[in-house]
Amino acid sequence: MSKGLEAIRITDGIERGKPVTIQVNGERISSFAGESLATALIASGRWVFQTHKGRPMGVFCNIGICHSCLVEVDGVTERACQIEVKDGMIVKTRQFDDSL
Amino acid sequence: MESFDAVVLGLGPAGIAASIELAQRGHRIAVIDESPEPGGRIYRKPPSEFHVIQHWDRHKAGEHLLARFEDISDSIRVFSRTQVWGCFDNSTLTAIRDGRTLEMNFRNLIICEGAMERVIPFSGWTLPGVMTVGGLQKILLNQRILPGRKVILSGTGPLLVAVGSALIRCGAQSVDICDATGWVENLILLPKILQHSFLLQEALTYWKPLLFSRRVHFHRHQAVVSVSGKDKVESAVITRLDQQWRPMPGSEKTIETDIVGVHHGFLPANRLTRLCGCSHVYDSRQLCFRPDVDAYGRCGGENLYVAGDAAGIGGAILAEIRGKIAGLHVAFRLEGKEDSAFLDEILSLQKRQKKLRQWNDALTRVFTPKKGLYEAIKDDTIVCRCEGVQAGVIRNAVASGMDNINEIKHTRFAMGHCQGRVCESVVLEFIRLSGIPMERIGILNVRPPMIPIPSSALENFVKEHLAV
Repeated sequence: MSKGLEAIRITDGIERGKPVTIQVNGERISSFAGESLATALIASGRWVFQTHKGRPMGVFCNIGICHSCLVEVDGVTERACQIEVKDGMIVKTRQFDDSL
Repeated sequence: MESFDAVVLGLGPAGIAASIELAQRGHRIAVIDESPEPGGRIYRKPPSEFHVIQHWDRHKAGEHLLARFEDISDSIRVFSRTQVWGCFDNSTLTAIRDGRTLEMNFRNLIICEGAMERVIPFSGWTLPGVMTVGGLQKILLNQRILPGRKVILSGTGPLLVAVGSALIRCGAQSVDICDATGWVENLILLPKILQHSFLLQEALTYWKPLLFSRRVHFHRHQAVVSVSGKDKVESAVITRLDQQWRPMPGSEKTIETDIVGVHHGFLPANRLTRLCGCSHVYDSRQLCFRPDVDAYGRCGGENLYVAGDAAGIGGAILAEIRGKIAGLHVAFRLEGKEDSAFLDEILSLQKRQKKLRQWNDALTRVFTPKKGLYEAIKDDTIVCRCEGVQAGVIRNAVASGMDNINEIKHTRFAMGHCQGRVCESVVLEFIRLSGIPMERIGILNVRPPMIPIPSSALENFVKEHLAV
């Protein structure tokens, strides 16, 4: 999973939920209750959620329509933009080489 | 199985307004929404786990409506985090919640599916870091995260300005706004804006941070035509567009960027109305299908209604009015009253729609995409993100005689997870631009389950039905 320049959590005018730790491809990352898995991944600099025939893909519509942000969460395929982070969540990015 | 006088699908402005009308008259209703909290995409607040010290303007606009809904929500059965996947015999809905299927009976159904964004593809648009402008807005306003320092927004419509403004407010280093329309075309909107105080207020809030900021750059009659990067977007090429939005060769300029937001207006979400067999008309001005509704929002049959953007793009205020009309009309029918007060109220609401529709017509005139950007999509550019189907493959299919949009599925277009939601409007334009009339193109069929669901979610459903 590629890491880019880290995104910034805005602190002005808002206090986040309680700290949450999730595991992504074996690495621990910090997040806050109320954040979507998609934003938690972006905030940690992770942009590639799945590869499809070698094409990297990540968050696109962010409202649950496009399914570009599919990841595996505790063994189940989920849209990262529609699921909230939970303490201890185990996340794996996906690889598809063939059409379903 | 639970039964309801009415089920309302979607809790944006239209769905909330419709449910308030019905609940306050004592009707037994249920509302279904995919989100954890009401408000739809337009009035979505930061998550309840966050403590908001200062609300932003968008949330203030929906406050009165959300407060009224809260007051009455004890008398409504609310299914949040729930997604409808089927509708049978115009009387039963099937939905998925917590991985299980639930069923409910309805006497009336008010569909308020809302809208989704139109995106015209360009080379590299599947790269991470390219996202819809509305999706970017949700990261900023709802999640309060600035995903990158340098951002390019490309496309058309008022949302570019709204999100450009939010980006500046969140501390973005540079915001390049490429709008396919020109300043002069936009000026004709000004007298219309002055007619509505809420529009003027909204325009001022968005423009204020932009007008005096050195971090924002406007590129009029321009668009992003390609992006590149290894695993994430790193740079974008922008070019000038002619009057038909055709890229002008020789005007290319490369800009380094962290994020590219794309948006070419909104499309009505109409999967459930298609599944229910409602008839749809092609709106050649807004370049999209919408359900064929009567003055009360009914679309086929006595008991199916559509309200809000799902019935045709019109914005939040119009959505609220249309939701109220649908709610009132359902109540009117349920109560079987010969009460003319009902119809008077509906009539006065319909009058209020007129001025708002004029505003909406003006937006449509200025911002509806012109053919140049569709023609400019290169043959090796992916159109269907899910299945990786390229523009050339789709164009060849059309040329080989597949003129009905459902036939194009042979290329695997619309066969992936999103089932054509993202690229249907693009494929439709490809077929239309090849000169084939609308009646031969048709509309993409929708069948249950209309969203991807795990087979385990069908277990309880199948067991119950086999036991009968």
